[in-house]
Amino acid sequence: MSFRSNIALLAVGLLLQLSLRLHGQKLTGITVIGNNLGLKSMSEQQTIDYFKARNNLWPSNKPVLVCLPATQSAEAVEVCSKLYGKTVTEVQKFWLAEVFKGRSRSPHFAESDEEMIEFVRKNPGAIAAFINERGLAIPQELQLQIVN
Amino acid sequence: MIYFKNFRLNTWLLNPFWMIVFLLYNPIQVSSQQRNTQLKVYGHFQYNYDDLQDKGADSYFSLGEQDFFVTSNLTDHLSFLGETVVKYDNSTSSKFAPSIERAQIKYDYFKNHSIIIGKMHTPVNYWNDNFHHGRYWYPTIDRPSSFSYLIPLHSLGIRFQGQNLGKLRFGYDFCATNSIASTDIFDSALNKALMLATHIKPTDEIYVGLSYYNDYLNSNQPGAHTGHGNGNPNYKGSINYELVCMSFKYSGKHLEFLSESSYNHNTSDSLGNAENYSQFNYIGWRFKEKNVAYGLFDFMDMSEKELHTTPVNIIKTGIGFKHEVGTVCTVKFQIERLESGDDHLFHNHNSTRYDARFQLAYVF
Repeated sequence: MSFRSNIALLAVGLLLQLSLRLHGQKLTGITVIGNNLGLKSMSEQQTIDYFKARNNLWPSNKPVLVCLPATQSAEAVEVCSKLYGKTVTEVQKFWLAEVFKGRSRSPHFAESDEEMIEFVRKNPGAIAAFINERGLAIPQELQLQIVN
Repeated sequence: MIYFKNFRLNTWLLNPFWMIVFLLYNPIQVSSQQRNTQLKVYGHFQYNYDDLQDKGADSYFSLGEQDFFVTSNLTDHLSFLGETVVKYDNSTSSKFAPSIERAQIKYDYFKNHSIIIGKMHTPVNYWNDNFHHGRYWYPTIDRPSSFSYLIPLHSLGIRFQGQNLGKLRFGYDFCATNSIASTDIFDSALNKALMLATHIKPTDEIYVGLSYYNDYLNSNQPGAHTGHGNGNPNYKGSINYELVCMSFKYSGKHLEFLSESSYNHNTSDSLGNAENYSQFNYIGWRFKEKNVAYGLFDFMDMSEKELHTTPVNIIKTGIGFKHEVGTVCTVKFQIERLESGDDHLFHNHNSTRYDARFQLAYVF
């Protein structure tokens, strides 16, 4: 293989890697559930926008109620990092500020995955994100598909 | 039968009791968890060392505002927000008194558009619409000096709000509220103060805002909604008060910047036009996530023709350090130089002082 071919292959490889980084799934491994949102699937960016308090209402006309893991567990760290690009403390501070400004409704910080599922089940318009490492069964009506 | 004979539909519909019932049960169906009433308390303590040029130095601790912040989701589309502050008040025996700073009902009527009714912080600039009375959020120890003279801090009335619209995340606030000279229960003026504020947030880090506020005061007297101190008690004539504010905020991973610019144009029958300017700049460098080293520049230049409030000119510069302890408290230390006087552009400086301040602000 000639020198030029090697350079070309290297360039293609670098471009491919860059492309994968740019278009790679941000929310891989995260389970997102919702109740009566008026949609069954969302893009990753839409999901992030809802979690970042950029919308007051869902298409179903229900208020956006965000539910997040409260603890400093590895699960909470990953969820906050992927959804917000922030640490758990920074996300808690972000929501403290949003509510104090009067621009968003208070989020619910849940201590466990079970509590998250229960909160979403009881509250139309609620959305939650967690890792679901234990493979908890998600009720059909709460399942939400995240597409690229 | 007599009841129906005297029944008037408009009286019945406008009865406050039925209006509250309508607001609370439309669009109905609220689960107990969703109502989610929450109380947060913000407060601060401070230590001050003031080196006054003429009087010598003062060294003292002070108890700051204690802020009780309540939010509640009333229905799917209605929510309540209240901020009541207990603060120093020399007119009471205990020297402290409660003050309702915000009490507002918000109705989310369509997508990201809302109507807010009640007492609110006038959204003329970024600081007043975001930090309110929570010292925990202040990037420096004090508010910009213009907040004590030029800025209408509070408004009581109706506000139409839109936020996060389009790709630039455009937002607007249109307010029709009681006059600057009003109290929380009465406004003698028939006309209302009008304000339009717009902003964009092209990224999570950047905020750019522009606003215009106008109020025609039949009689110049300070009310409950102004930060103008005691105003100017020597002038009771009419004032046409206009204010243009521009805000720019950047908060990156390390660099933080806030600029608050104000131009105030007051027209009186006796002295004509008075033009006042203020500029506040904050720049900070965040390191190790929780620490910020910062500098501030605070400038205010008021016209000699100013009648709405007492004309004061200020130049304040300072440096400081902030340390954040989780989402619980912040500790700030600030050294500043304050130059102030009542003559235009400091031709004859009246006072220069050097202050050191230490502030502990908390939330729980």
